[in-house]
This record gives sequence, structure tokens and C-alpha cells, in this order.
Amino acid sequence: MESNIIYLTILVGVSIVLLAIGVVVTYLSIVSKYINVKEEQVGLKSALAAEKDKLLEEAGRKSSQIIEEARVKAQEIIKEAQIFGPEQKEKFSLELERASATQAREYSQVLERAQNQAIQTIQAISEELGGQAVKEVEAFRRQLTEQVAKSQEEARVLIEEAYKRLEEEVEKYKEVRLKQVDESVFEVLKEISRRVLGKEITTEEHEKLVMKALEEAKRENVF
Amino acid sequence: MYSEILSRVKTSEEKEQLQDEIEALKVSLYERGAVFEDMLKTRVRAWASQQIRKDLEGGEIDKEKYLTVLIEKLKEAKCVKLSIAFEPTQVAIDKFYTFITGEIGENVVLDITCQPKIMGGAIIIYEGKYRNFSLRRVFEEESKTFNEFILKILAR
Repeated sequence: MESNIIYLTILVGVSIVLLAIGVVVTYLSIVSKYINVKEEQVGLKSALAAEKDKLLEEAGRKSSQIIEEARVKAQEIIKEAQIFGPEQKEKFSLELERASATQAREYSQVLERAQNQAIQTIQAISEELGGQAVKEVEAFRRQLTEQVAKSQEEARVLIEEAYKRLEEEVEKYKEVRLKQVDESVFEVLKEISRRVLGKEITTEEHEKLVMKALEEAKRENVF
Repeated sequence: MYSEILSRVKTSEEKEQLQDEIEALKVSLYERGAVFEDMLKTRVRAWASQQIRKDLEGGEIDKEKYLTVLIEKLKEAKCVKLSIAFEPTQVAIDKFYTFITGEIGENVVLDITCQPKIMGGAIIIYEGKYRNFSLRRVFEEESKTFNEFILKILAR
């Protein structure tokens, strides 16, 4: 009988330990997934905090549920063991309570450590993400400032070049127009003079002008 | 002997015309009959014909030699090119000719061209020397100053 009780106690303890390990593994898996999800969703700090609370609550609820199920199953097993007497049942009960208390305490400690670790990890991730975000914002601001300054400089150069080209074109146009005016004005003046003088100079005056030219040529030793 | 006939030749056109007449006379010398006399009457202008007869009077001078020398002298005549703005009268040509022969001697012909564009005065070319004494040149020189003046006004 004694050995049966011991075996049964060991069986129950082992079951509880396995369940607790399962809970912890499940919890750690959830936290790992949570971290992965958080790494992929940079910038969603508020959502991360909400998810953290939700996951912790879920883990607690699941663990409580598992413990409760373990208790129920243990009681059912005890009830089914009709071969045990009241004294053995009392001892078994005491042992079971003690084992349950010990396991629950250990589970609580493990759970607390895991929770603390998860919180630290999440905080570290948050700080890292925050720092990275600030750096990126700063880099973006600097890049934007440089880009704006570069665009302003390019625009200034383009405007200056366009203005210079315009000035050159205006200068060329002015030059051409002045030349045209020059040619047309003096062609007109020459034509007018030619016509006026041609009509007004008499043959005698022409002869005098030619004689004057011949005398001039004589003075210049042409003959 | 030749000065009288040459003094009647004042322009390059007259020179060419007389040269043609003398050449024709020279050719007639080699034909039979009184061809030379006929040519003097029909082919040569009256004043030239008279002057040639006068120069050949007495028969002392050989006709062929006379005509040959005359052609040579015509070819040797100095040429003064005159560009003027009007069609000159004979009186005007005489005046110019007289002045020029007074300066450079006889046996001179004037090559006169009429260029109304020069407006007045004359452009003279003689023995490679060129002088522009036209009114157009005077006007163009003055117009350079006037040109700048007008441009200043237009540039305002």
C-alpha cells in the first residue's frame, strides 16, 4: 500500500511537473513569437504593450486552467483508488497538497522569472527601437535639409543661367537692330542726298567739281 | 607733223575710231587703183581725212610710213581715266583735256566713264595712281561722324 501511494504521488508530481514545463515552454514560445512579431512591427510601441499584457494574461489564464485540470484529474484518480483507506487517503492528500504547493510555488517563481525576462526583453527592444527611430528621424531630417538646400542651389544656378542667356539674346538682338537702323538710316540719307544733289547740280557745277578734282590731283602729284 | 591730228583725239573712243580708220587706210595701200583716195572719202571722217591729206601734201612722206607711225603714236598715247557723275559736253571734255595736256604733255587720251553714284567730282586713275575726289567719298567720310551721332540718339 505504502509503495502504491508513493508511486501514485510520484505519478501525480511528474504529471504536474510535465504540465508546468509545458506551460513554461508554451509561454516562452509565445514570448518568442511576440518578440519576432514586435521586431517586424517597428514603431508600434503601444500595440506591443497591449500585446504584452494580453499575452501575460493569456499565459496566466492558461496556466491556471492547466493546474485546475491537473487538480481535477488527480482528485479523480484518488477517488477511483478505492483500495486506499481513510488514513492513507489523508496522508496521500497531505502529500498531494504539499507537492501541489511546492510545484505551484516553483511554477510561480519560474513564471515570475519568465515574466521579468520578457519585460526586460520588451523594454530593451522598445528602447532600441526608440533610439533607432530617433536616429532615423534625425538622418531623414538631415537628408531632407541637404536635399532642400541642394534643390535651392540648383534652382538658383538654373535661374542665373537662364537670365544670362536672356541677357545675351537681348544684347544680340539690340546689336542686330542697331546695325539694321544704322544701315537703313544711312542708305536713306545717301539716297536722298544723291537724288537731291544729282538734280540740283548743274552741268556747269559738275564741270567745276571735276576741274577742282583735277587741280587737287595736280597738287597731289598724280600727273 | 602728228601733233595736229593727235590733238584732235581726246578720248579713248576717238582714239579707237581713228585707229580703225588708219588701219583701213593702211590696208588700202596694198590694193590696186585709187582705193586709198576712195577710203579717205568714204571710210574716214572729214576732219581726219583733211588732216591726213594735209600731212601727206607734196608727196615727200611715204604714206605707209606715215600711217604706221600714226598707229604707233596712238597706241603709245597716255591714258587718264576719269569717272564723273554726268555726261560731259564736248566743251567740258575740251576743258579737261586742255588742263591735263598742260600738266603731262601731248598724246593723251581721256577714258571717261559716267557714274552718277559718285554724285559729283571725279575719280582719277593715271599710271597706277588712284584718287577719289568724288562727292560720295566726302559724304561717306562725313557720314561716319554723323552715323555715330545718330546711333547715340537712337540708343537713348
